Amino acid sequence: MRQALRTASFQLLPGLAILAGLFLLPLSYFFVVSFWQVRTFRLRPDATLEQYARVFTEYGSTLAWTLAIATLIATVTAAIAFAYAHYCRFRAGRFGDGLIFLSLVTLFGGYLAKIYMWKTILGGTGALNSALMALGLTSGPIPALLFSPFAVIVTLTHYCLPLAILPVYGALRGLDDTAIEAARDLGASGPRIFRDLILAQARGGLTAAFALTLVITAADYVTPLMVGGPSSNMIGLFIQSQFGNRLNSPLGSAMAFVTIACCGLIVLTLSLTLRALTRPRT
Amino acid sequence: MPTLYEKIKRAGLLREEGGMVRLRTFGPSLTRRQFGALAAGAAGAAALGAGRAQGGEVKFMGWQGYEEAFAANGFAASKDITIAPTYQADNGQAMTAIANGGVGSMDIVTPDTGYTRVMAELDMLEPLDISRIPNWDGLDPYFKSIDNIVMDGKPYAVPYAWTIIPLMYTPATIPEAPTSWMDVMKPEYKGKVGLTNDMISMVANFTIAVTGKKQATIISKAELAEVFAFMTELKKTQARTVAASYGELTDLLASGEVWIAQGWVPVQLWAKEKGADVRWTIPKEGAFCPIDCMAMVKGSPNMDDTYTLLDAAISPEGQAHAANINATGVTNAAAVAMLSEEVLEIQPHDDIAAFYEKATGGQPLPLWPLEADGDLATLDDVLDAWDRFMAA
Repeated sequence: MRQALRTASFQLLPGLAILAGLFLLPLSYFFVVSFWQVRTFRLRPDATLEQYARVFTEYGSTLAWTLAIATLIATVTAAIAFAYAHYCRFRAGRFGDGLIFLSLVTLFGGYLAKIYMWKTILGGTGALNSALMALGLTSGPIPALLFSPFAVIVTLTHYCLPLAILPVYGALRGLDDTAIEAARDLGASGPRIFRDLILAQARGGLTAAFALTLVITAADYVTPLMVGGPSSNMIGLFIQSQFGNRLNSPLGSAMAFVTIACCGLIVLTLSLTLRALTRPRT
Repeated sequence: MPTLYEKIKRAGLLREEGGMVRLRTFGPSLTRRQFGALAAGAAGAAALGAGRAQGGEVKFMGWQGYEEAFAANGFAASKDITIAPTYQADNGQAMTAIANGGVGSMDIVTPDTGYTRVMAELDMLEPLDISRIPNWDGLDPYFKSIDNIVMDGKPYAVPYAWTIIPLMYTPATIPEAPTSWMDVMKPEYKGKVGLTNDMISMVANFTIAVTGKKQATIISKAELAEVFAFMTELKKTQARTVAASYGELTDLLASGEVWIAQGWVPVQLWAKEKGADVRWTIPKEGAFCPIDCMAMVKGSPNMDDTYTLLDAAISPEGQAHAANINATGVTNAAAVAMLSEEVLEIQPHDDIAAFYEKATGGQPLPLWPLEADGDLATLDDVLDAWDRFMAA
């Protein structure tokens, strides 16, 4: 037993080393730096909470906006991902895996390509406005389709969707059909089966899909800049600016850690809610 | 003293099979003919290498396309110099890189004249020995007289390119060229005004417009607040968007999403390539006209090659080659004759000193002060105000 444990620990070492070297160490460095200061463009070691205070006093509204829009996008994306994965698992029969593969193929389009694609579709002379005008539904282009929060939500949902589908589908694949049939035979209603079996089984995958989308979205700054219009900028833009242009990695680090902590809290809240909703009843 | 045989044996390169000693090889075995050919080839390559000039790798961090000056007539390759480029999106990025380990490892950066002074004051740049840059003599006299390049009698950079950040408009929707920056507030342009994510250009131009001061970086904190109040009002009431880049601004102007914008002269050329008519104008208040330089980073590990490249950057051939690609103005007077018609159309070179006198009051703008100096707005004040503007 002890030998097996030792072997398992030894086998884990490379993975742990990579995790520590590429993730934990850099993160720890920036966590320490978040308590430092910058003077005349050079880092000065310190132990101050000043940067954290600035995050809330100077960037509080941007942070709140970012978390709100990221939570909305993550919710919409996870819901669509669940619907798609549910269809692939229970309705598409032998085409299910193929449909999942098709959704993943869209990832090859790339991030910027998707942004430009939505700019083309939503623009004043774009496909959507042209179609609406051709159908006589609008007399002129709707400016709010592009350069608005709506455009940010659509673009980021489209980008994150394939990434969100995968964990939900993985979770639903693990659900045994016989359990559903047994529940049905025992007289369980459709909503009861959905909540107590399907949703309970997909809980982990749904949380993963939501978390993945939330983290990607909350950190993004290119999409709001490209399609968000004059007033949709998110915290990622200012984090990038602190590191890249303002030489202020302490403030940038503090902004990043506050954002990570807030995202963690949101994911925890969702996880606890889902757990409460799907708690087994006696 | 061990013999060579013993050393090889100890290193594990010999193995004994059936009474024979064999040399262990790594990879496929070679016949004697193959070995001979390989040896001859290696000797030839070594001889060829010995005959070529010694060159190295020069680490360049700057605006994309500026390194084209080194490629004119295959210059860098002929000197056996390899350029390792890193492209920046902002001058602050180069400063960040130098402040975080760049001293002693980077060679060339491309600050504008405002940043050149700051970087020199922060001991990030090497003062240049002009005797090693013969093409310095060919520079237009205006560029040799810039305060922020020559400090305490020592030049810290070579002026490389200049350009104009004007007001741009689409004649299809605005037939007469706008005469003032304030035209962007006209009610008929509501939702059709383009802004850019180019902090220095935006703040400089709207400072010129709001305060009437051509030295737009020497303003009080109250004036800065006034400028940003105007910009925020403009963004909230008139702007279609804040373009992420000038390429995106070109698309916006060409597609009709935007009719009037703070722009950059090459946008006119790029729009023309897309079949759109976009023009630039310098409003009556003036306009920001930055001059980008090339400078040697403190402790450059490859100083000789860096001097060679800095000289090539302001040679007539290097200047014209890069300017025709980047659509920027040249600083070497002899390069003007080699510019394409398109570049000459958007970048007037007739009397550069008079042009700057009209546009900026003479000297290019310095950067905002780094340290508090009375009531003057500092660079930090501007950066903080810019973040608030972008978040608004």
